[in-house]
Amino acid sequence: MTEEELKLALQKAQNGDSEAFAQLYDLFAEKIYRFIYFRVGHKEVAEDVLSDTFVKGWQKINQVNAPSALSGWLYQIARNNIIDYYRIKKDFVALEEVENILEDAVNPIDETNLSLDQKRILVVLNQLPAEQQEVIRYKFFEDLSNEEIAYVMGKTEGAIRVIQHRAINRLKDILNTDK
Amino acid sequence: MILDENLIEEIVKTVKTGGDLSIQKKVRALSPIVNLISELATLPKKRASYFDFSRVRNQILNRIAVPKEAQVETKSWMPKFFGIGVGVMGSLMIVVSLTLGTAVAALQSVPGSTIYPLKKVVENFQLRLASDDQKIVLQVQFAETRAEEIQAVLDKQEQGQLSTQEAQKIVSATVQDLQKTAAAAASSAAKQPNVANKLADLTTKLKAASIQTEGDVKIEIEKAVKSTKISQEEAIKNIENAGIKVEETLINIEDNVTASGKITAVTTTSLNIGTARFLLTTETKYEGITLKELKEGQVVDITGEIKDNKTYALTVTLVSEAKEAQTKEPTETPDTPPTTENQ
Repeated sequence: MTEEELKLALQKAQNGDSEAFAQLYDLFAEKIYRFIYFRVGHKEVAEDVLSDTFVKGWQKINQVNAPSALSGWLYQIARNNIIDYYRIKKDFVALEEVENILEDAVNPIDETNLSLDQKRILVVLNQLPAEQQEVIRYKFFEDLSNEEIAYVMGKTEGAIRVIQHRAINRLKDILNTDK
Repeated sequence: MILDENLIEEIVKTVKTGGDLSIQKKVRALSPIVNLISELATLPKKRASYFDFSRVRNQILNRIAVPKEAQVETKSWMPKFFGIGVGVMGSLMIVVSLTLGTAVAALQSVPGSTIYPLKKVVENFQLRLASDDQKIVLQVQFAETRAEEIQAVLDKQEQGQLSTQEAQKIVSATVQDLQKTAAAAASSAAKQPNVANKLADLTTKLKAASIQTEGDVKIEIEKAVKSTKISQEEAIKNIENAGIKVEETLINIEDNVTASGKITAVTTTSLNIGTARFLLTTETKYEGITLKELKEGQVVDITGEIKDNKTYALTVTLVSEAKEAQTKEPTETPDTPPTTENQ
């Protein structure tokens, strides 16, 4: 879908065209499903959360100001739905605990096929502050764009760049010291 | 070369897109960074478990389709089981439901009440059973009903039966319905040109509702005003394309609102008629009265305009003076009356 087609589909969806909204689903469903799946670790649950995410997206589609913001915005809804899922599942889950679940449900990295350097990087990654780890995971484990990460983490795109910069420099420094 | 966040971002992008990094690799300070980013970017990833893309897609479409058109999902087991069509089955259900009084209660319900979803079911059956011409009438009627429901929700909020958040949530959902129904009606306007008039009435009703609101609720209603206007324009376009002449008054869609009634609160910068709040600016004109003479209890006619989610008074005309017991001087506020430009 070209940028122009995406813009048109968004406009139509905002005017109540459900078929146009279905085109948006076709474009983003795979990515959002992957995001959900690695956090709930269960296909059927992930499908339900995905469905809820898009229904909520439809209900609030007029909040989206630009086509470029759409995927980040959907990630944000998905993230909130995942938190809701865990909250409903357990009687009471502290937000902090949910945040941990959000990051740890299923590891998206296939650790059986890592190079030696990559194994070292993953070990060292755990020494970074939580926020820096989070950005690296979103960016490299799940291929989210800075804008998408910004939506998920509730920060600006500029802040994400800065965190990424610090994380990579820190990783480089720790790896150098370890050598 | 300064290793700032922009350079790191550039390297990440180049690595991810498989671009040429030979220059950066030659710079001694950059080489370990490029290698690190390359290792990160090539981490082997697990596949997410396969999901039923089409099933979820259909499920979403079913959940969002009501009540734009007669899109109620056909439950294939019903006709097979009873040997009758879904339409007949629907009629039977409505008759039974009417007998029980439930549908009647549902039709009078407002969004947020437990029985309200049934109202939508009844409306959908009505749509299913209607001829094409009747469908247009029904869609306009449903859009009007949604506008009335919004007014009812606002009244409840004003009476303290609903919090602002609850009201915003309900109004938002109702506005969505209204947008869909109005758009559906507009698309069929060429068959029934009076749809444009009905949509114009609807826009006025919503504008009136928007006056009494503020904050998020107001934004939701403004959205509804905007989309009914778009539907109205669409309807006019469809009518004109069908070769029918459209009334001039319908083509002039403006952002003007009017209100009449007793002043319930007044300051040097705003005036309330009930919950309808108008901002007074240096451009506001007064007829039969001056700003300083405005008092609670006076009956006035106001014409105003909606701009940036605020309602500005353009003219305030005195209709009758207040009874002595109700009069109260305007509350002094430190601000001078603002102009529309600086609001």
